[in-house]
Amino acid sequence: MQALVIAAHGSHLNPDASDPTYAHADTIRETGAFDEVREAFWKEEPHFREVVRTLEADEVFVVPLFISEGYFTEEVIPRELRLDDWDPEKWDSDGTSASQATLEADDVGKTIHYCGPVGTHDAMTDVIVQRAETATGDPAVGEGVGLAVVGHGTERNENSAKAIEYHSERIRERGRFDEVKALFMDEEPEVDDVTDYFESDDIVVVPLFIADGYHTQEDIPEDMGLTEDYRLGWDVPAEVDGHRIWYTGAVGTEDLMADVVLERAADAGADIGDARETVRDIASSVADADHEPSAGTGAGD
Amino acid sequence: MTAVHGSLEPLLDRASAGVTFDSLRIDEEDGNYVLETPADEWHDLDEAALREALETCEEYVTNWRYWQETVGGEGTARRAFLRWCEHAPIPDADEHTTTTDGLAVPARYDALREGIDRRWGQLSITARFVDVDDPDGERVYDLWHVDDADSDLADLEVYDDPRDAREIATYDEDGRYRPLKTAPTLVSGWAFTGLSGAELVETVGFLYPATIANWHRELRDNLDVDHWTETAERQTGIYDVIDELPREAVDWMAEACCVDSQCLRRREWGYDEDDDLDVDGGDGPFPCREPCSLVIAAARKWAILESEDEHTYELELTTSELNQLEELIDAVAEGRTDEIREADVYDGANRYRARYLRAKRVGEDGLEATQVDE
Repeated sequence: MQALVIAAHGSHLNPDASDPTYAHADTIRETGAFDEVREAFWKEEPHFREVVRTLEADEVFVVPLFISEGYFTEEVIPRELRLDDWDPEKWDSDGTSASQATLEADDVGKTIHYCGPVGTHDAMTDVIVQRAETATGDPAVGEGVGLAVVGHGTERNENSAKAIEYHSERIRERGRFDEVKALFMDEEPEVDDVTDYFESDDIVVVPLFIADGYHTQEDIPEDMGLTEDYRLGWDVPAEVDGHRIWYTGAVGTEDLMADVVLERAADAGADIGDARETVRDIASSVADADHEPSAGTGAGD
Repeated sequence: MTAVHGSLEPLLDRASAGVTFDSLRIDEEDGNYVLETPADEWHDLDEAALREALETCEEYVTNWRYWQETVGGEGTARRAFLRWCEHAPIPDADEHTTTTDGLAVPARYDALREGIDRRWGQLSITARFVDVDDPDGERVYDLWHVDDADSDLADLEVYDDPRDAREIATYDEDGRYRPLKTAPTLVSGWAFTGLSGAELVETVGFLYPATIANWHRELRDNLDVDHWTETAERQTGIYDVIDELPREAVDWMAEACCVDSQCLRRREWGYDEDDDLDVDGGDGPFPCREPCSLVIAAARKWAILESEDEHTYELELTTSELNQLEELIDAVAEGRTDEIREADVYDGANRYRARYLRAKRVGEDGLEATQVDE
């Protein structure tokens, strides 16, 4: 038997924070690739601390639903899962290249494959591009369009910026968009000045965040000048300084994220059969159905 | 006598290897079989005679099939919980002796025809036969809020997908987010009916995560309790400070957060292994094995607040106003402010009373109090 645990932050205050986690877990449940699929959280239940004991499988794949390697993925999650032999060195990563480490969980005697975060997986690049497609409602978006990938920046975590730059570079190499830029909330180049960094009239802005919340639904739209007040929502696209800005919200809500979770587990040795094809079919059918881009309506929705 | 047939073949397949389960025993001795139930005993049975004898032990045969073939999972929390649901004996960690007294098969079968009700936090669980008139041993489970135990099913929102439980568990009756799933604020008005055992366990897992696993560990005497000091010292980042919370503040914290009125888990952790807290741990069916993330987050706030020095202040209040402060604190702490009637000015926590006190005693710079120590 094999089990999948999706490890996410969750929230004590915002009931929507865990929605993407549940949505991706449900998509993977539909594939039947794992005998058990469980969500686990830092701020909700089941907590990281108690999730593994709820599983019957002896082999458990833990995929952190986090953007970058850092405090949570290197310290908090392994500690709370009781992976006593964990050491970040086991990932042998340059900041974006963690794949997995195989360990024992001390309290349950199970084999835990502790995977790198979804945010640094190569498949995440496709999710960012798909978010550009769903935000614009154009499956062929790219020509004549600029793409901004937005992250926190280094103030909190040096690897956070690395992940943003990593995916920006990969998308740039594909030559699909006229321009691709990595922008940040707390360092240069800043997302506040997004229009300064692009010549294209149309700019798609994709925030590399797991869940919608304060940053993606309040800060960023106001900072970019999409709206005076996030509570009023904003147009997609919104006119700013003669550019059209296409912005919806956190990339982590994109249906294709389930595919990244699966790939992380598969890289760690999980037998996932043809689950990836199933997930990609589900994601593309949803993307087709969502042809009309939706305007942001604030973090409280 | 039809229901037994589906169960006979798989049981006969296992007979030569020996079967001992829920007081049903089949053994092979010198090429023939011995069959034993609490009511009867047969010896020297050939296969045809064994089959004939088993047909007279229908309840034991179908019971064997449900637990060994349908449920399976020996030693798992899932299986133990489903056995608890029908008052069946639950094997302990070595799978031999039983840790709890339970009903024997005939008594359980009688009860399952009527439905067996158990309570798990605010949940009422009913175990019953799928086919009451001719039970083939297959059980299904119904689940609803204890407050709805006497409600007509037609008046409840009925679900059959365990994942629907997530939405039910997310908001209280006022629509407020429930970050603590074991808070006694689960909404009523819904029912899950006809769940399989696995579905029941999954549904309870969404409503009260990890409670079955920890209950099972406690039953087997291997609940791994992490006391306050261990949990606090483990924290890093913004929670690094919580191990500075004074000893007496941990008692106050448990009294604030960890009593039955706030959480249905029964607190098993203390200050440390040899130092229990003064506050009662509660009576919940499922244990709390370490301070939860809400307690950790609140402890951070209290650790910071408790680092402040105490002072003596002087402020002018009538005796009734002093009493009113107590009433206000009490009303907020008991979550009672919504219940105070609009015009009930006799209650110190009434909104008009509070507004009056604010108008009289709270100036532009806040409460008119003077620090009198240095």
